[in-house]
This record gives sequence, C-alpha cells and structure tokens, in this order.
Amino acid sequence: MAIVHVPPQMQKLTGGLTEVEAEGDSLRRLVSNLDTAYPGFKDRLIKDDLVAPGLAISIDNVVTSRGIFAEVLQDSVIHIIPAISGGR
Amino acid sequence: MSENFNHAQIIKDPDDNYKILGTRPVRHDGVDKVTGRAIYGNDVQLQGLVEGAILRSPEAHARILSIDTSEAEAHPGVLAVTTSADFPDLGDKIANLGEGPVNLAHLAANCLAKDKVLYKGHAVAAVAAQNAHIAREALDLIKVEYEPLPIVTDVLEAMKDGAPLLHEGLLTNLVPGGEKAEAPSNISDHHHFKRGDTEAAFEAAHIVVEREFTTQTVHQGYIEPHVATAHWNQDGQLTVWASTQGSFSAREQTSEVLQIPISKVKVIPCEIGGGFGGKIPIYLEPVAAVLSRKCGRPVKIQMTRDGVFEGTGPTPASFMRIKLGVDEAGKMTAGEAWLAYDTGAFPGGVIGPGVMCVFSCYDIEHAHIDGYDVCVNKPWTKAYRAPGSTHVAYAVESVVDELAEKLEMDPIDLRLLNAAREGTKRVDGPVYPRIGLIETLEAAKNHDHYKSPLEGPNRGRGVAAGFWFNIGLKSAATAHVNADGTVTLLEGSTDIGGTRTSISMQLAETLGIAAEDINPKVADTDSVGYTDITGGSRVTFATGLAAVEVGKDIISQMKERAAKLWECEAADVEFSDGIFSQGDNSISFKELCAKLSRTGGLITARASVDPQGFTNGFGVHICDLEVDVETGKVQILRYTALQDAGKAIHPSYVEGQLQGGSVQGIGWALNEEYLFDEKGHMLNPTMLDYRMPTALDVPMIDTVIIEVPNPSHPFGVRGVGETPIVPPPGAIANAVKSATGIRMTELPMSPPRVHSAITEDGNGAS
Repeated sequence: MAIVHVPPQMQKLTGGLTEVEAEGDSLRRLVSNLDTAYPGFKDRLIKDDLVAPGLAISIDNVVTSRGIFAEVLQDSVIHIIPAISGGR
Repeated sequence: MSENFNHAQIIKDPDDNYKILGTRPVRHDGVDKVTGRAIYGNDVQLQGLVEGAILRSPEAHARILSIDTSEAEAHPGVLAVTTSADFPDLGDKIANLGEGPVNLAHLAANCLAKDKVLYKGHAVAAVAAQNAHIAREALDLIKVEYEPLPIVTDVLEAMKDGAPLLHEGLLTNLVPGGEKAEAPSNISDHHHFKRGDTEAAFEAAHIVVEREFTTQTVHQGYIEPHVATAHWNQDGQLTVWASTQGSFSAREQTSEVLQIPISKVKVIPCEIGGGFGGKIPIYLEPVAAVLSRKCGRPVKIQMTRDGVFEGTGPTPASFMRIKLGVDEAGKMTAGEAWLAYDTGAFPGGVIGPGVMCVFSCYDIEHAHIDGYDVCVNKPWTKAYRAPGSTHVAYAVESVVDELAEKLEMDPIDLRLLNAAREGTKRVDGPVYPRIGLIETLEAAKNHDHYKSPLEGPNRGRGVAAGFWFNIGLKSAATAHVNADGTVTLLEGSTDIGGTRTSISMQLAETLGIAAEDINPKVADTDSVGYTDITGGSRVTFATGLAAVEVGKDIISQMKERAAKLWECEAADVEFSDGIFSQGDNSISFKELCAKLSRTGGLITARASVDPQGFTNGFGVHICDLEVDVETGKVQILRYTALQDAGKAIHPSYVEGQLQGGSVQGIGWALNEEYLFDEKGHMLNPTMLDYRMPTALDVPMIDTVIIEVPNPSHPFGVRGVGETPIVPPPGAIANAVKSATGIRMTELPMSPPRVHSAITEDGNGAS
C-alpha cells in the first residue's frame, strides 16, 4: 500500500496520525479510499476534479502535474505540499 | 580588477562527450535582435489599428459608487470606453490555468476593478481612441465616484484584529489541506509544517541564534512595459498579440475572463523585453479585446512605466523570524521559521514556495515552519524569479553566517557539514534526488575568489547559498525536415534567455547535425501543440525534451527511408553521429534528406511531453564589498556565482542567467524598494527613482558552472534561470557584517539604512 504523509493541518482527520496507508493505483482512487477511512480527506484535497487551489501532490518525491489521474504505485510515498506558483 | 579572473569556468561531468551541447553557437534570433527587426509588442501594426489607455485609481482602498463614461464616449476621436460592467459575471469560478487553479473573479477584477479598488493604480476603466493622446485625454472625462476606505499596507498591521479588511468574506485557508478559519481576516493562507520536537532540540542545542528580518516590495524591472493588441473579428474570432511568458496561458486566461471558447482565441507571442515571472498574468489582453469588440477595430494598449510599477505584480514585502540551533560540532539540530508575506490586493501570493524553500539547503532533523499570505492595499504580487525563495534565503543565510561566527567555523565548512544531499528529506516532506549543493559548496571553497585575501578598511566578504525547485510542465514541438538537410522547428516557448538556441541544440545533438541547421520558430497558439509558460526554469528542460523526442521520431522515419533505398528492414538500419548505416551502406543525414521526396515525401515529426523528472538547482555566491561609512553606500568589489546547472547546453546563456540573476539580487539587496506615503501611494514609480543597478554599479560577475547531470533528462538538464537571484541578499548582508560588524536585518541595505545602522540609531543589529 502507498504511504501518505499527513501534514499537520490535516492530522485532525487521522486522529493525529502523521502517516497513513492507502490503496489506489491513481491519485483519484487513493484519495477516495482515504476518504472512506478518514472522512473529509477528499474535500480537503480535491475540488471539482482538480487538486485544490494552493496545493500540490508529490508522488515519490516528484510533484505531479497530472492531478487526480497521476499514477500511484503499491509502494509510493505521497506528500501533500503547497503549490509552487507565482501567484494564482 | 576583474580582468585576471576566469569568467567562464565549467566543472564538467567526466562522462560528457557531446558534440553540440556545451558549444556556443550564435543565437538564431541574434541578427533580428541586434538590427531591430525583431517584432516586439509595440511594433505590431495592423490596418485600422487604434490605441487604448487605462484609467487607474487614485485611491488605495475605496468602494466604487459610480462610473460615468458618457463624456468620454462623446469626446471626438474616442471609439469605445469599457469598465468591468462589460466583463461577464464570474462568480467564484476557479479555473486550472497551467501553473495551477486561478480564482477568475480576482483575475478579472485585477484587470478592471469591480466594486472596490484595492490599491492605488488599480485599473478602473479604459478608452480606445484614434490615437494614444486622445485616449489619455478622454480618461480625464471619466467620472468615478469613490467612497474612500481605511488602508493597510504593512503585512504585520494587516494581520492584526481590527485591521481594515480588503475582502470582507476572506477566510484563511489552513495549508496544506486544512480547514478554513471561521472569522474573516486579511490572512488568505496559513501554511504549517512540523517535524520532530523543536522545543526539546532547541533546549539541547549548543548555540541558538534567532533574528527578525524585513524586506520591501520589489519589482521585476523588465525594460519592456506590458503591451497587448487585440482584434475581435466580426466572425467572433479574437486574435491577441502579446508580450507574454506564455501564449497558451494568456489564451486560457483571456478566454476564461471573457467566458468565450478557447478555440475562439488565438495568441501570437511577440518578442519579449524581459518578464522574470511578471508577464505570466494577463492585465491588458481582455481589456483590449472588449474595446476591440465594441469599436470593431484592432486595439493596442501599452502600459506607461508608472502603470507597470503601480498596476502589475511585484514580489511581496515580508517579515521573517528565523531561529536555528546547532550542536557543539556545528550540526544543525533545530530550525524554526515564522514568515509573513504580503500578497497585495488579492489572495494567492508566494508564501507556498517560501515555506518550502526556507530550510531547503540544509538537513535539519527538528523543524517548525509557519507561513502567512496576507492581503494589503498594494498591487497583487506575482512571481519574480524563484518566487518566495530570495526572501527566506536572505534571512536564513544571515543566521547561518552568525552561527559560523559564534562557532568560529569557516562559513562554507558549516554549510558543507549541514548541506542537503541526495536522500535528505525536506521539512515539507519530499526527499531530494541527485542534487549538487555539496559540489557547489566545494567549488566555492576551492575558488580563487574565496582563497584570495581581502584587505583594506571597511571591506568584507560574505557567502550564501540558495535553492530553487525548477519545474517540468507541458511542452510540444513540431519539426519539418527540409530537402537541403535543415530542419524547421516550431515550438511554443517564449524565448527570453536564448531558448530557441538551447532547444535547437538538443535537436541538433539528437540528429547529429549542426545547431545552425535547425531553424527554430516560436509559434502561435494555432500553430504548435500546447506549451506551458516560460517560467520555473523549465524551458530548456521540458521543451528541450520535446525537441529530443521530435528528433527520435525523425530518426525513426528516416530509417524507414534508408531501408527503402537499401531494400532492407528499417530495424536493420543503425544511426549514429548523423550517419545512417546498414552493412556496407551508409548515408549522412543531409544526403538522405535530399532523397526524401523520392522515398515518400518530406518528413514531419511532432512530440508533446509532460515530463516528471525535473529536479532542483542550488547556487553559492561569494561577494566582496566595501562600505563607505560616511554615506552608507555599499560598493561591490568582486562577485562570484557558482551553480549546479546540470548539463549547460549553451554555456554562454547559463553564464548570462547567473550574471543577470545575481545583478537582480544585488539590486534587491542594496537599493530596490517601493516607497509608499501614508495614503498608500507609491512615491517612486519611475526608473529614475526606483533604483535598479546599472553596469556602473556592479563588477563583472564571475561564474562557475558545476555540471551535476539530472539523471531524469537524456542530456542531464536541470534548469538554471531562477536560482541565481536567491543568494545575493544573504551574501551581501554577510559581507556588510564582515566589513562593518553590523548585521543588517532589513532590505534594501540602501545608503540611508546602512548609514543609520552604523550610527546606531537605525535598524541594524550588531
């Protein structure tokens, strides 16, 4: 299962856990499964099928530009970080 | 004194055996640029063209009660007048515009204010007339009734309870992934990262240094003002000629603001006189478009210089508190950062990269970061070369320097001891791939500059490191192979730093032909595949990769043609160094091109890429300077910029980026700042009073390129352009400390501030 590092601002959803495991071969499926285990995850990360404004997802240390369709591997490591944009 | 220095040192990867890459061909657009034939935005001339002008707010914060345009409309020679009433209602619509989602209502309201003006210079209305003089006259005839509101321009003041609110409904986003705050404020985002136990680590630390720093609003300072021409044809097709860092991004933004199908908009990118991040957002394009729709003529609008300063997006002012702890050996054990950047009039500034960059050069086990993006009554801040990173590097590198002093350690040795390397985990989570900070620090330590003695009163030397992510994003390219052995290359990346040539060289290397045999063209949005902005130090990496893929496609197609000639299977044809061969047969690329029309016709190849293997850039700068203690003026004596560039495709352009970025950072460090009066009016919106460095202010910037290849790019390209602006303020502040004993904690270190600090009644802390 992929490992998702939970940033401090989301740890209320995981009962204080700093990392959780989740299944899913795409970011969409992974977030959906996370949302089942930890309700509220999807709302925080995805808006209208896009990664939420101001956020970026790092999969295996690469910030993906493929949004919810990004591929996730069995042993992937996911970080939720701020978007690198010069003003939006 | 610089003539004895080596200005072009390159520390090469030992496995490098390229034929084209690393050479210095003349740039393909050179003749047009030096003869003045290149077409910039203001050179666009069309049948029936009329000119536009923008009315800007005299108030820094006010409700718009009414706008009466009737007198302006009746003025002789005026063809159209527009306000935000001509824009569609965008509600809270969010659109994904390449670099990320954008609040369209904010984007549109920044082009033409809707209910409120949020900064002095905010665009309110626009006029199209037979010429620019009439258009400007007509602006005076537009009557706007304002209800002035209290203003706030200081980032810390804007965070306080009871501060004037710019957006009454703004609720703070807790980032990443948090909830929204319950009560409105000017704080649009609060970023928070925590790793380990900082409290215990600081308690156990041998030395702890904590300091507060401030920086002021700084503009990108591109020489060419913003300019756009729009022609809304009777068939509904909108064509825009723009000075933009991204024609596709400008097309998307314009289409979304005007709510017209993207297929109805074509953007033709002109040559660009600098952007540095400031020409990613649109300002004039939808305004010129609406004016054109109203008057049926093409409309050109060019900003004035004060319009550029007051109406476009500079980089934020900031307040930063940095705390670092080390053990007895100098190993960094704990770090804490509290950062507040002003985002200007609308949410969405650059605190995100700021919080990720703050400790990015170092491996720190326990760290705690809080960052705030705060709305104030100033222009909406936008990207400026490594957005958000220069601020924090200034602060952190100053504290690292102070730690080295307290530890009695060489400042480069302290950085080497703590430097991030492959496998280091950033505080925000991701782990570094192969990076070159260690190699860059070692090159700095071994450089003649660092080893040379610096003598004389009031002279000092400083070093600082800096980081930028570099990005990938999407690029496309199309190539047509010509019968004479040349290749016409169409790509969509605005060429700011010589990228036509750096992209062409990668195609030439792939095909085994000369760079001069590639004829690159930057194409419009109807003529090439989707390509993201020129920004993020991405073009040589990503559009270069598209060119490499095009090259592979060309080789594959040409193998089939060679196979036809030799009556063999294409799989049996080999290709190396520009020669196709099979058994005893061989033919050069050029010779085979001459036979294409007889073997199936000339060849076209294309590629579209979305590469994920981009990786980071690190720089280390060394600065010698002298402080005039009577006036506070700082004179840079010698300056060396070292950077891990990955493979330097065209070393002259890499050196140019290192030099240009360094000079921009020097200007930020020493002189540049927006000055405001108590009404929020900018006092220095001219190039005379906004003091950017000139050639007389800086010595030759010595450069060292360290080539640590990016393993995820076929030629090892990393990205270069942004990192060099990051270290200068830190390096200069450390040199001023070395020269005077005074730690400058406020930018810019302008003569009044330095003099004031020296005389102990100012902002420096010794």
